[in-house]
Amino acid sequence: MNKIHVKTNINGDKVEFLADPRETLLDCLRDHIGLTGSKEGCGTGDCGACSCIFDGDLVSSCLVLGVEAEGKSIETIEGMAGEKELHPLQKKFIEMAALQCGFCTPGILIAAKALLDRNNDPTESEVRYWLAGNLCRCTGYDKIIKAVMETAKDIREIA
Amino acid sequence: MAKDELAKEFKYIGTRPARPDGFDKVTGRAKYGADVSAVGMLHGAVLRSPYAHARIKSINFEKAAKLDGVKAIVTRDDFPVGIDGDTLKLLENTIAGKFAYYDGHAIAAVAATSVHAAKEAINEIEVEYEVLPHVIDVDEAIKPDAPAVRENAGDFSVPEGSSPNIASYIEFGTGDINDGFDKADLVKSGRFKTEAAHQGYIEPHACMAQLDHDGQGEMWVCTQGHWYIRQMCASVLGLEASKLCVTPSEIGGGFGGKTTIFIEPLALALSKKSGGRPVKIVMSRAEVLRATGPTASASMDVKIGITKDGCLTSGLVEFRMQGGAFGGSPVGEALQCAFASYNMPAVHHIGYDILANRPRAAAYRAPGSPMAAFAVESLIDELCRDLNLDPIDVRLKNAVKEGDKSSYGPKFKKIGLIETLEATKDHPNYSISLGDNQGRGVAAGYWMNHGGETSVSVSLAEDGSVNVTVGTPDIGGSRASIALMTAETYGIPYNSVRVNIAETGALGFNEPTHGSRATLASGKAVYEAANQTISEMCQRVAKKWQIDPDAVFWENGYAKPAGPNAGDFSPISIKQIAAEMDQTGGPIAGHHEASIRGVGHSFGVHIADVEVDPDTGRITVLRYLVAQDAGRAIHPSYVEGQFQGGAVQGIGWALNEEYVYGADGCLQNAAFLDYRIPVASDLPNIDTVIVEVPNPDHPFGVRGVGETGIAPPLPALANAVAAATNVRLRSLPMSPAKVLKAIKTGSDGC
Amino acid sequence: MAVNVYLWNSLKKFTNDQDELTIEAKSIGELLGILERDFPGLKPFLDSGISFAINGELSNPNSNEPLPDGAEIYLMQKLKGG
Repeated sequence: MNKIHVKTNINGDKVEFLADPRETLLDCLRDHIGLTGSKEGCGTGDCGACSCIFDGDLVSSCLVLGVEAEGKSIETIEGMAGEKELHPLQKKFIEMAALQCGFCTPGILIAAKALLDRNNDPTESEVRYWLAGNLCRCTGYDKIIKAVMETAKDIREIA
Repeated sequence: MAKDELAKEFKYIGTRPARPDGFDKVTGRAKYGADVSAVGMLHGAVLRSPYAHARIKSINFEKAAKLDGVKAIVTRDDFPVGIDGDTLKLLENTIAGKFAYYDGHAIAAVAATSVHAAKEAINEIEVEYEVLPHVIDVDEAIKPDAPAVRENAGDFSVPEGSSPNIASYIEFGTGDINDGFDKADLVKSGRFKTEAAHQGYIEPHACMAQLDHDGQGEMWVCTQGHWYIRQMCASVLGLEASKLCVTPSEIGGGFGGKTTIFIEPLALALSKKSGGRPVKIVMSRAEVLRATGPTASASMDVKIGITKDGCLTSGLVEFRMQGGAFGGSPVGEALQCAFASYNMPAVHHIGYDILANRPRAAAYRAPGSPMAAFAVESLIDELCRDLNLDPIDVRLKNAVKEGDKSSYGPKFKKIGLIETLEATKDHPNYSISLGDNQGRGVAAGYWMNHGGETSVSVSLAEDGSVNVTVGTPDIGGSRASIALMTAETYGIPYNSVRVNIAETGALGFNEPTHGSRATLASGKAVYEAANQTISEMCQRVAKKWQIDPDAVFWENGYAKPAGPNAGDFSPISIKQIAAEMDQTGGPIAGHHEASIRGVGHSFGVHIADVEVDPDTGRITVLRYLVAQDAGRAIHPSYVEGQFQGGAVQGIGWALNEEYVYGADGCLQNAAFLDYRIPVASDLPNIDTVIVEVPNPDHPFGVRGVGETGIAPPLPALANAVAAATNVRLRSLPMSPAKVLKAIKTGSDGC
Repeated sequence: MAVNVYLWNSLKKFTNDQDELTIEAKSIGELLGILERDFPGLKPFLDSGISFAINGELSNPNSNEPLPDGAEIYLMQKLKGG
């Protein structure tokens, strides 16, 4: 099968790669560009460990084909921190011990950022339902939800 | 350690600093099992049996070998012969010989230049199977006329003439149980069933392995215990252990499921056959569920006697557990936990480890304890409800304490069950009022914890900061707890300590991060190694001051004269000592190797509040409390994390999770959609109370905490549902359909 | 020195129906040797790996370890964790 030349923008950088048309965006990020922060937990869109922002939308990158990235703008966990410091969510997760093994953490951070970018005053229930597509097996979600709510509070105070 | 020394305030222990690997993990920088690649790397794929039980008549991979990009294919013929005992079972599970024993059993493996090429090759391998009868359910498998899963499965413990699928048998007890039942005012018995559950780690197994013709091998693998992986791979492949270097990646969850081998020997064998190219294998989620190591399913009979004022008089349990096709269900541990929380004059335990055509069970967080807790704690709750007694008061009345003989024999040393029960009773959650269709359940749980083989080293850097090297992979924050204990021992800032997890060649043997042992065992060993360096530093300072080494002591990062008689010397800091060490005798380092003892047991008590929808049978968890004895919480946030994580796994097991098999013996729900673990919207906050009854045998009072938390939820939720609906479910999971049927017909779900 | 050894019931058929034994042994290694010699039926159990509880403390066996006089020793199945 011939590979397809894809030109795209990832975390603000112009990127090109050759994609087998059967490859998912997740495969391409990890194997062709070396961005291994997004993880495969299931390959079927059930666990959210591969969460990315695809043209402004929160997606499971295991359900997007690599070739669909042509001309699009993609944000992954590697682009979340600023040049000089971590994103408030990243800082809060460390501070509040909202991760244990850390495998689900990139997906959860991307998803949580997508929520707070839209709504910086979610209720606890809204946070829980928004993150229902991100599986975590270590934490029981308690500290994750608390970290997102606290970050939302900090963001509102600065705004 | 003297009790009053334990009572002093610590400077670093008990604080909540940022974990050292936090930055890497929130930025995606941390490297897990599948996150590496190498020049010339091949991708591996595995052909797996589509049948629950079959004779493998032939394997023909001629066509597959000719495909573009295929560089190596291995079958059982590529593995050594003449292996027996437990190693043979490991090898059989790694790759089938004459028989496929379960749906998903590995038959052959391919390495090719791309994942797609490897998968295409798998499809071209021709296998001739003769399908054989299979058995899945534990109570079916124990029947004398059940299809035999394997020949000669029973070991030396199994009585003659037993069913062919009984792999081992255990019986132990004390006291006269019949006398105990006679003395009881109420005796109740019941059968309780739990289904197989998977540890459910989000990271699938992954490794990259290289094995050259000279027998030197390297492997990068996500594992809880790389020395175990080295030992197991060496034994099934006939390699010399020290020639195989295993490096642990960061690990995306284990819970016991990553303490053994699955794909690792296949990757090594493929590498060797391809001429030494690195081979990467990553399991799919379906492969993880079908072909790694879920825990056992259990069918348990319990009989308990109680007096009307709440004294437990007698207990009898018979547990039947299936651990897959190779045995090894945690029935022994389950029996040990069954009555462990209670001081009962007479107890008797019988257990059967039974085979079924299912994957080989691996450990899952306090293996056996959740099943035992479900059976015993549910029945105790039934007794309490029948006699109208408070469930915490009854547990307090019978709770074990220091000096009591345990249900499995040895006397308890210092333990904290009573303190934990009291903390639970005092908690506001116990008195919040409940509404219609709501109910509260209480249950206790226990895990022995483990010490085990540990090797660590500690060294001083030139600037007085400290490197600690351990062999226990960091699954949930143990770098932080080890750094805190090191900082406390030296009296230096937490940020001056760096903890590394080294590969197998760098240290002596280490048991995995399992058995709730990392903080306890690595911590205790690091304490010893650190004290060696402190002793060396004091000696060097004593020489400098020209006084007796006994006249120098260490405090808060400084060597100090022991008293005015020692001399009027200014304290010398670790920084100064380190800066001069090349001139005062050379590098300063310490090491410690031991089979760590002084383990402290951890008891937990949970309260669950639920609401049951009478129209759909759906259970909503309204409120959940975990109280557990941590001995000493080194980093309280990560202790809370273990409590919460364990509780939620238990909640999933109680409400949603089960292995569903079809009539053909194949797994029906091999994906996260249908193997449904809890999601954020299923749960409330998980409230926690850290009880501290320090373990007198640990320098900082630590008790392992990771495992106990998964046991109480199974009975706590069943007890809450009984309180909410007046219906007792004795079979897990309590799915809505099962609950609805119970509400309508009074069935117990079995 | 004499130590008290407790076995689990299903082992009784190999020890003339006794589950409590008093044995003169100075170390774990010596104790295991005596058990194997006097009760050969126990050998497969001892070989398969067992844990010990010595005066309430659970551990893996160390054959060189000296035993305290009068110690209470429970033989148990080898423990795992998860």
